[in-house]
Amino acid sequence: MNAVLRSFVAKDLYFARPVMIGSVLVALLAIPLLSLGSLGRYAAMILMVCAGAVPNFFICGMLVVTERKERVNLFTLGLPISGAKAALAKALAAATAYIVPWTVMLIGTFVLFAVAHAPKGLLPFGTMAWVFLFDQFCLVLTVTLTSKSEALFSTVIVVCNVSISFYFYSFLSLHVISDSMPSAVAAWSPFVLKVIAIELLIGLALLSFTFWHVTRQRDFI
Amino acid sequence: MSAPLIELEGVEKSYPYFRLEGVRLRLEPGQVMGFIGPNGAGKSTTIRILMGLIAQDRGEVRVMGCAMPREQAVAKRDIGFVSEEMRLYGMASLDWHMRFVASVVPSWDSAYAELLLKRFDLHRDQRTKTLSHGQRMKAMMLLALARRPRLLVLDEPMTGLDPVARQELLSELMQVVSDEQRSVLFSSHHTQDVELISDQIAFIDRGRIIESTDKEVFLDRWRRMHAEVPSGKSLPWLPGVVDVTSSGRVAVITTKAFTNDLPAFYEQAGATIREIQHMTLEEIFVAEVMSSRKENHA
Repeated sequence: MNAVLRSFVAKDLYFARPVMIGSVLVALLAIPLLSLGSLGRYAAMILMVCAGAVPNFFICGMLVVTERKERVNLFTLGLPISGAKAALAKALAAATAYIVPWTVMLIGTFVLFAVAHAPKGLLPFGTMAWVFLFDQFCLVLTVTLTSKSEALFSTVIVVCNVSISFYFYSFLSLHVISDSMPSAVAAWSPFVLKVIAIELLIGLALLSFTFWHVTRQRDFI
Repeated sequence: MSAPLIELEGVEKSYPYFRLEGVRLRLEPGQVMGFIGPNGAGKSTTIRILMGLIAQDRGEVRVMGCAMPREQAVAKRDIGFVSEEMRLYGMASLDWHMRFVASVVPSWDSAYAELLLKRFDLHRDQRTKTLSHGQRMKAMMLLALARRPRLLVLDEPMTGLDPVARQELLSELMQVVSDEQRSVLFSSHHTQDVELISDQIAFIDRGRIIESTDKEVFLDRWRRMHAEVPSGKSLPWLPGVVDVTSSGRVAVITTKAFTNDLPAFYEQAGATIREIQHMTLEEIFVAEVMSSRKENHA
């Protein structure tokens, strides 16, 4: 990565820093709730969903949509960087800003469950939902970097928000998921692994398409 | 002679309701070009094409010898760009912006940046969202000038500025252009500023360059003649005459190709030339655009 590209990524990470830290703090708030019975676990789950879903909109909205809308990109694109490299830096920064705390929270959750001897039956579905939130981020990033339409951005945010409820409703109504959740042992069934694999593939495909698209754009304003 | 800093040849760009057609523009080292046109004429589109921010549909664009938009990263190392539409990161301070630009531009001159901070009365720790429009333009000018670029591209930098801020920016620009190695492309629809600092003029209207030439030659060619015409006589439209307005026995002839022979021709046609006036750039701009539009309609 050349120095200018690195500076551009660092610049965006500097602005995304509060969101990155904030999401981890929200996830930390969920920890004490886990010991408060089923209601506490439910509240912890809501907090984790917030920690995984909300940064997505903030990162893409702040780093891409607002910068474009407020014409800050005229300033950055006046610097010695090509439009394609600037867009690539943006995609890299946004992906890092989301994926780093996302990974920290995922690993942190596994460590916590192992150390606290909590019922690990929650982990398979939790991981599925966590990867689903990653897919949502990839979708929002793809839309913001490949389209200048704010209406489309807003629509995707609404769809993402609504889809979380549908996701939980759909999968928790399946016995293969719900039956193993109260269990002390995590049941990584083939179904769960298949869903996680498909979700990861979708996310990576969206990210690949985004990186491919931004390096081929011709108009950056 | 060294290669031109800006060279546009047959540049075209189409949008649903606007089209840039056959744009040809050339800026030599050390020249200051005023790029004038009414709102929506294509000034910003042309500038964005030459900065590589948007790609032309057709035509050749070379800036600092680099083919645009392909080699824009190299070309932009030596270009300072300021646009009236441009904004800075509102949550960050001017100091942060200075450090950021310094991190990506090796030619950043910290001492000159400090000097400009004082001269423009800016505070380095101030968040840019709290800057007034005038302060913001000064801040952006500082960020462009302290890079010590060989080429400054300014898109409507004086729009919306109060007279004091405008004068401060103009003074700084005058200092920059006094360095003969630097070139400036200065777009504006305020002709007074352009007249003050530029030595080249390019007019653009409805996506087409209608004139691009040396300012002094250009100003000298345009004249307005006040003539007395006997009743019943009509004045001929000689080549270069863009307008003849009659009111009773008085006629005003506007020409873009004045020669010392022209008054004699009109005298022979029966008119008595009372006064020959030079025109301001603003008057020429209006006359040129109106005449070009008439030609297009005809």
